[in-house]
Amino acid sequence: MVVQASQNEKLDDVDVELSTQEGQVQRPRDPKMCHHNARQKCSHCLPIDPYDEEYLKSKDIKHMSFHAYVRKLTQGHGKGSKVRKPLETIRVKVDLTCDAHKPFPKGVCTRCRPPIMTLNRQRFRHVDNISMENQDFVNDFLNFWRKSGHQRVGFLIGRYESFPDVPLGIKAQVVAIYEPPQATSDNGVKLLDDKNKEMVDKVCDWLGLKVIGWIFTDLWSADLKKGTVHCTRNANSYLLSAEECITAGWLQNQHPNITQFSLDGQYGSKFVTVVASGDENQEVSFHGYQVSNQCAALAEANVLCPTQFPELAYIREKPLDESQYITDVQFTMKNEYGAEVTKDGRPLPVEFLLVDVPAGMRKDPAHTFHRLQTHQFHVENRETLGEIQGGQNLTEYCDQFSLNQFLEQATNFHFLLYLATNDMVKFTDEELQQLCDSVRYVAREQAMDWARENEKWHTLVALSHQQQAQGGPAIPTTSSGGQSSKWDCPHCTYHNDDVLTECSMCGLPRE
Amino acid sequence: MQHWLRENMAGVFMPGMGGGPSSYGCQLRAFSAVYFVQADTKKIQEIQHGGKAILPASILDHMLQLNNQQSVMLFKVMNPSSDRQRATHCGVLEFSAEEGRCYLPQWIMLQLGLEEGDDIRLESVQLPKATYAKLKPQSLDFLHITNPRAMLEVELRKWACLTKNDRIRVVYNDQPLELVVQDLKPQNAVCIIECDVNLEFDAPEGYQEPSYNEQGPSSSTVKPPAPLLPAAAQAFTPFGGGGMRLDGKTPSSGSLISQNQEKLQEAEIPAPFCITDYQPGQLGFVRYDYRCREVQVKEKNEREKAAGEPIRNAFTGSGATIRKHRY
Repeated sequence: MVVQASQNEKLDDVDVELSTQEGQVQRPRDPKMCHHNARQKCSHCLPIDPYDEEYLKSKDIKHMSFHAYVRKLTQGHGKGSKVRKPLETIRVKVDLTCDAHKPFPKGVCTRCRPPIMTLNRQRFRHVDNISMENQDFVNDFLNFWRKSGHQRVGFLIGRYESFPDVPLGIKAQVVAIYEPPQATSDNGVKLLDDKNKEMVDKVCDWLGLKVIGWIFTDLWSADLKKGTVHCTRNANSYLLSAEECITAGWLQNQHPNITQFSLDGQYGSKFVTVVASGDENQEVSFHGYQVSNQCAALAEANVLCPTQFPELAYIREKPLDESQYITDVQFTMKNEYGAEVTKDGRPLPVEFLLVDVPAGMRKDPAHTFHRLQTHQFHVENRETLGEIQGGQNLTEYCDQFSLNQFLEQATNFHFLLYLATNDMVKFTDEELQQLCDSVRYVAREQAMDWARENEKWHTLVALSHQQQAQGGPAIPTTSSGGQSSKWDCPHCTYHNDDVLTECSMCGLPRE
Repeated sequence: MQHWLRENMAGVFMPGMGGGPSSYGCQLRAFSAVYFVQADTKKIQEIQHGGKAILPASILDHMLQLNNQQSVMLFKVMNPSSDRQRATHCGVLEFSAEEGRCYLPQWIMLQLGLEEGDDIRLESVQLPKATYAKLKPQSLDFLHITNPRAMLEVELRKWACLTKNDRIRVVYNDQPLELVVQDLKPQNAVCIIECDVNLEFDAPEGYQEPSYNEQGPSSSTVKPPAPLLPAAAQAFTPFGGGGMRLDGKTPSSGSLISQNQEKLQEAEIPAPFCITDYQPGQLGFVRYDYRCREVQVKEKNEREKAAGEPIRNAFTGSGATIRKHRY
């Protein structure tokens, strides 16, 4: 029996791929300096290391890639674990398991106390580029704001790929956006508890995808006729607010980066943050960020707080409970006289916590999931807009496809997720996995077989047809609306239409 | 005190009535219901929240003399002294007022701009039956009524007729509700007794459609400026008092000190404070032209520099000694 590691313990494919690569940057023969023949190499044309500072500077790469950074740390000789596994997770919490004395509030020693943290610019980044596969799903996401004027948060679904523009670089390829339950308003948004979170992860896993980041809109329309938006995030205001940094850190901690180069087995996170906001030209643009591992560690220890100024964070002054240890955080900056001074992290400008990641649309759009111009399948959790999945929407969506096109029909992330999470018909994991597999490997026959043979699918289609005929809501509601015309079967509790005299489910009489 | 006028209303003839004068008019002094001697609270309420007036008995006599086949007696009430000729219509509750006086509901008094005891002109009229009426409630309380139609069916029984632009007041559940008559058919004044009316409501005054489907809160192209910070605590301002003159003239203003004082009024930029109970997952976005604290401080310093060094620290000069320091 093969025991498969859960997704949280598995190395990403891209990490496996990159760790086997040489990573050296090949240089062509220098026409001026090289005086040797073509088969020879000299110091002007020898391949250089992927972490070469000058090379990165010449290519205008601000941060080296994660794997280049690891190469740099492991280049030394030796076989000790310090050399092979050089990465160490930043510790901000006090070690409560120190056996030299009583646990923290009663005793503390230099071993269990976290060191003073000096913030510095993170020299590497886990992800070097964010690429949106096509415009359509991004537009779908922005449509929420266009229709309601309210801001929105979504999780980016996609995969990590290698990114050849940066030596040993990683690119986050986004293919869909999942919108979790949230409370929205025109100037704020709040994530709510998501009961489908595990199911989303499962469906993504079956499709060979992952939740790779999050995106939020901060859009404020300037001129409705021209469709312009205000530029709220610039050098004079802020790029990412303290609240967003803390939330990004919190999410990054939930999605750790599994790596073999750390003793803990994980280090940092590849989870990215994308902001959709107005740029200088008052157009909607996307900016990608990650928060540094230091910020994520501070967020995990719950010592980082926002202030009334969005660009300033604050290190908590009073511990939340007595076992919380608040470490000192300092940073160095140039003061008005140009001298380097060390300052305490109260307050703390969040620019010390940011790593920016270029984000953009792919030049040659690809479509992992299909999108139709007519009768789209609604995005989840948009009931406030009146976009309700299932029922009429499902029927209209399905009516566009013949059985032969079932594969195209199923190649829609929101549709697959609806099958997995709907309240009416529960599919088993095996059934869903089968369908997802056929979507993942584009197996038309397999998808058609699934549609033909799966009883539950037929039930769901029939139910949504019935709902459409009744014009009722797609979500079975318990409100008084349709109750009067239904009766409950005393034998199997099935809700039957009033006109029927026997139960349509079990066939037993009404009385 | 009593002036009776009887007029033949030229031109107002009812068709098919043989040309006889069908209209009657007189002048009366109008009072609101509280002045009615015979009235108790209940009757006052009945007058106040209805569309019917109490008229003297002589009018009934005259109406009977006219001998027309009118089923309901309706009167046009006018304020002859008003700058703008204003008029409305009412029915009759009782003919029990003293001669020369009439008691009108409060809303008619307001409608016609009448004071207590002002003269009004009363003319008997005939109005067509209403087919359509459109009312606009004047407060959002109206939306809380479960069945406004039923409420109005009951309450409008106290009215005999409606006039366009009337601002009528009904009481429901001890709560006064104002309604403006926005539209009537077939005429601008109609009788509403024994008729089928198509009743329509306009959105109450001050009601806004929930703006869920509207794009964005503002459509202006300019970002609104930052909200004003609460003015800094009264800072010490040296020589901030005003001058006085013995001759009573106002002293010349615009002294250096008062100018400086105005600039000093600029609020201090507050120190950042820690929001300790923040839970991740909640984002708020600024919706004004925000500049980060550093820029705010820099701008403020520049403004102060441009305005010249204000007298910020009074009496801060150092002491001096005549004797030279020894080194």
